[in-house]
Amino acid sequence: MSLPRALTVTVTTLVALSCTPPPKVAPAPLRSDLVVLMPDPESGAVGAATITATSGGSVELTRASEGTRIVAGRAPGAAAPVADADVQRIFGGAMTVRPLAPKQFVLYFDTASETLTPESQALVPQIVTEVRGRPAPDLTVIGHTDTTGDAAANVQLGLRRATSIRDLLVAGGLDPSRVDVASHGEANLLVATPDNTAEARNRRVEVTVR
Amino acid sequence: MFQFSRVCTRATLVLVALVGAAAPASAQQAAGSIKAIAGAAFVVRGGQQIAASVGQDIYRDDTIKTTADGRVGLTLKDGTRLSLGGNTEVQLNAFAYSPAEGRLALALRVARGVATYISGRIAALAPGSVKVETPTSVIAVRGTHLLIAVDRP
Repeated sequence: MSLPRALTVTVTTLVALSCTPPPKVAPAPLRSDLVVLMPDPESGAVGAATITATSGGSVELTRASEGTRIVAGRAPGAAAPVADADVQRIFGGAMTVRPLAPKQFVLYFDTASETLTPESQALVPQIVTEVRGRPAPDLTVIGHTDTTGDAAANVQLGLRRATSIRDLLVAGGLDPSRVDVASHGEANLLVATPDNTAEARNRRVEVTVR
Repeated sequence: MFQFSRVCTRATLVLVALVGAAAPASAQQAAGSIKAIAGAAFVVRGGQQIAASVGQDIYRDDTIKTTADGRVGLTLKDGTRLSLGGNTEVQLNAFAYSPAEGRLALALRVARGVATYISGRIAALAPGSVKVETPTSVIAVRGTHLLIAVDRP
């Protein structure tokens, strides 16, 4: 190819290229987060949440199935209903591994002792059943007393109560390493009383199974 | 002397950081534990990624991650429940649950993916103390059940 011809070809190619409309680039999708308020799966109660965008502006969600979209750099979108189908499409997978709601039991004791009342004694097998029915359960067992006697001794009494319940549950098959035992003594009354007052409802152990 | 002490301070800081990273997590109280897994999920702790398993304890500063088909559900000590969908990453930036001492705090960051949140005792006892972050926003949760998706069209 002669030099002039080569130049012509090059120039023609360049002109052709510069005249070709630029290839279409799909606009980069804007980053957008979604927040949806749902009823509590157990109680059905609807809470509330305030969403504040990093770039300013905020929106409040107060109704069931109400959501907001937040696009980067903008204020959050107005609260609007989110269709069940969309909730299922986006969040259905995560919902399949939602853990069971924690369950609380309260056990009551005789005065100044770690002896359970007969009614509470009957509740222990129910706790064992609850523990066995859960994958990888972990528990909190907190002992409480009424205001009879001095506060320091009551911390010890609360601890003995909690420990005795822990031992009962371990005898029922619970892994002891999965139990947190604590005592609040007389510092956390269920029923407010003056000092040195016997109150059956305050002599208790609260067991939470998670 | 000034230079020397500065170098020493730096060396000490580095040492503290190293020891901190290597310290067994059991020195700290667990914030919660994993209750359910489907597919593959991981916990990132002190820069190390370990496969997640049911019953495994979770600590403050842990990051929980899932693969595309991974899902993981966990319950914190205050009863807060979280569940993560696929391709998700959630960091537990703050957790304190000592109601007797009035220490209550929970901060999560949903860095990517899909998460559901159901509040526990922390939100009930101190409604202002639960914060959930996404890359575009901060959510102040007053209860109880929220769904959060990051970067989903």
